[in-house]
Amino acid sequence: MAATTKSSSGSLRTYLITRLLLVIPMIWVLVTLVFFVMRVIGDPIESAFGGRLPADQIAIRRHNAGLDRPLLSQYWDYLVGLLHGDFGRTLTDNQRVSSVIITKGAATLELTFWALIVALSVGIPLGRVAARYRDRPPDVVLRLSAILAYATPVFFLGLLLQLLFAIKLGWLPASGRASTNVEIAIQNVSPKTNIYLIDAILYGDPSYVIDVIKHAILPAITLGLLTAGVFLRLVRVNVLQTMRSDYVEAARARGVPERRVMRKHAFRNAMIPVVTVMGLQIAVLLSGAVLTERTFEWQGLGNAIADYIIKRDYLAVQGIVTAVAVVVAIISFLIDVIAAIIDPRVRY
Amino acid sequence: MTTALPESSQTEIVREQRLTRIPGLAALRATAGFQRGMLLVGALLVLMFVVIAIFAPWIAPYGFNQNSANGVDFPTLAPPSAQHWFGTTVSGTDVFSRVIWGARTALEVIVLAVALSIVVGVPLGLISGYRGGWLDRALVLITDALFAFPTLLLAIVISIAIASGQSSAAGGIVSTAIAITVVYVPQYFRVVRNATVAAREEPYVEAARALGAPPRVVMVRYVFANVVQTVPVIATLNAGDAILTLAGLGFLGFGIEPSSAAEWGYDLNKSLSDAAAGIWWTGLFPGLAIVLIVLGVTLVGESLNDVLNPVLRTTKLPRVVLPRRRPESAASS
Repeated sequence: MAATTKSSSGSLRTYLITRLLLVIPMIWVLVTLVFFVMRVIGDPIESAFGGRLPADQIAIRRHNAGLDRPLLSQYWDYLVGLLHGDFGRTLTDNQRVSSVIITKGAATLELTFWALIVALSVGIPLGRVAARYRDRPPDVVLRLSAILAYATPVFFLGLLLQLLFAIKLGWLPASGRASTNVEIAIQNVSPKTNIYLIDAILYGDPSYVIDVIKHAILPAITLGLLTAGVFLRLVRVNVLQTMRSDYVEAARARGVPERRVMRKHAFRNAMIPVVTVMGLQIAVLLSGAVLTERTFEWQGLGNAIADYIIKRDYLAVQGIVTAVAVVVAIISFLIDVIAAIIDPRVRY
Repeated sequence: MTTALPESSQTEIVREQRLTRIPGLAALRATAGFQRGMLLVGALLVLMFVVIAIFAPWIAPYGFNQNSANGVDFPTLAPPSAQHWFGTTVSGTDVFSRVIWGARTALEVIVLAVALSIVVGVPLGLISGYRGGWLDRALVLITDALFAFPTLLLAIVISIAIASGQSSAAGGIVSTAIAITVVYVPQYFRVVRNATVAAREEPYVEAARALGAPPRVVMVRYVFANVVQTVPVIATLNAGDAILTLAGLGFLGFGIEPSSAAEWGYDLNKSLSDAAAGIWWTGLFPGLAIVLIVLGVTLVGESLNDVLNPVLRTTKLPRVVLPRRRPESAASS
């Protein structure tokens, strides 16, 4: 017994090391690709200020940003900077990209978190229902709704929800992360997290907390339903597969009632792939977050990217995109680690 | 055995075989009930979309950028009426016409993007999977990295690179298509490469090699033919995704200039500011257009996937009818 635990923890360690060794080149490839692709376009200063500033001003700015040096030396400095957590500076409002990422990233994190909760709490139970009623009306309806949820662009769903619940019915705010007075008040909370729910709780006024939650409902549903369909289908297929497996058959043969077979035997094992897919869904959620934030004027990273795109501040876009890529790679690594701990079959 | 069969049933078999060669029909024959319904509805939606896209100039009452007719300016933000079925936008263009013309833009971008992805992704996957070695490892690393990247951000990066290189209005469709291509190449690459790696060791490929067939012939003649079946499914599923990416780019203000073509995502972006005033028609119709077409493509893709993917296939076994034990049935047989 002791021997087996030892060898399995050994294989877990090997797996973690291999997986980590895969993350580093992956991040490097991403960073390199983004850097060179964004530089192919030529001069970010020219794109941002061309025609609006005199040529000598542009030359000075170009020099200050180090853009007049050879490409490879810029690339090297960029890599070294990244290792120190320096993602460069924005051109148009001269901020550190890293500080933009920290303040706006908190908003995106908050939105993604709520959305994930919506996705899981809608997708998993419904997937279970669909599996139980396989090929019967509830299953058909749920599968069609999952496809419909996939086919609806997030910003269109967001627009519809806005029109209905915010403008027509007036139940919920149409946009923003909090009402203006709340936003001003919670700016002064001493350990400021920029995660508004936490800030509002720290501020200590329950009505502020409710205000923040009310603002989050529509964006969270919008972004959450995007991935809820994925979880629904995944849970459905997995439950169906485990229901066919030998050990479930064995449980049935022992006379375990069907409800208990589902609850105790099939469902838990069917949940393992959900963890893995959650890792893949992070990328989808972040893509969706860009659009959701734009729809609801949620001041997160996605909204920031879109703003910088309009201002043609490509250094800022490059910095944010790189940061997001790094975050995605790290999160998917962490989720793979969790999956490996839960499910021994993953460690190879 | 076949010679023993009567003439008519032989031709029947030949016809059967010929029918199964046509991919769409074969898929339709393999489906039943709900699945067949899904495939038919999907195919119908796709067909409608293609017809509208091709005949847009004849279907749309006005141009996509036209805001006056016979010297009379269209009203701005007018609700749906007999003259403007879907109302008008803030700049006085006809929403119905823009939705129709938008189908054409979407079709152009999607066809171009899917074709480019196949042309790039399939050979890369074949070569990478068949040759193996450092090339394979490098390509797998790069495509895995791209695959993990949020698709929309990747498309944004590529669009910036292309758009700033040449910001001509005509290049909008091509550059958007290229951006979408870069996003989806990894998927074709992955599937084809993995299938190739699996096929490489198959006896028939081994046999071809043993007979002295050069690598190119083995790849094209033997491996490709057995790997290519997966491509239509990925292509259809990706086409739906690509439409969403196109709309997402348009929504963020990228890609196609509003004056050079109608694009649904762009229209939805503009409709956001109308929504605050309770104006729903500028957003609802382009949004519905996206939903319907993506729905159609996805239904087709899903059904194809269910039919062609043996893991998911739920085989409909012929119902076993047990002989009844009643005397009259025994007498009749």
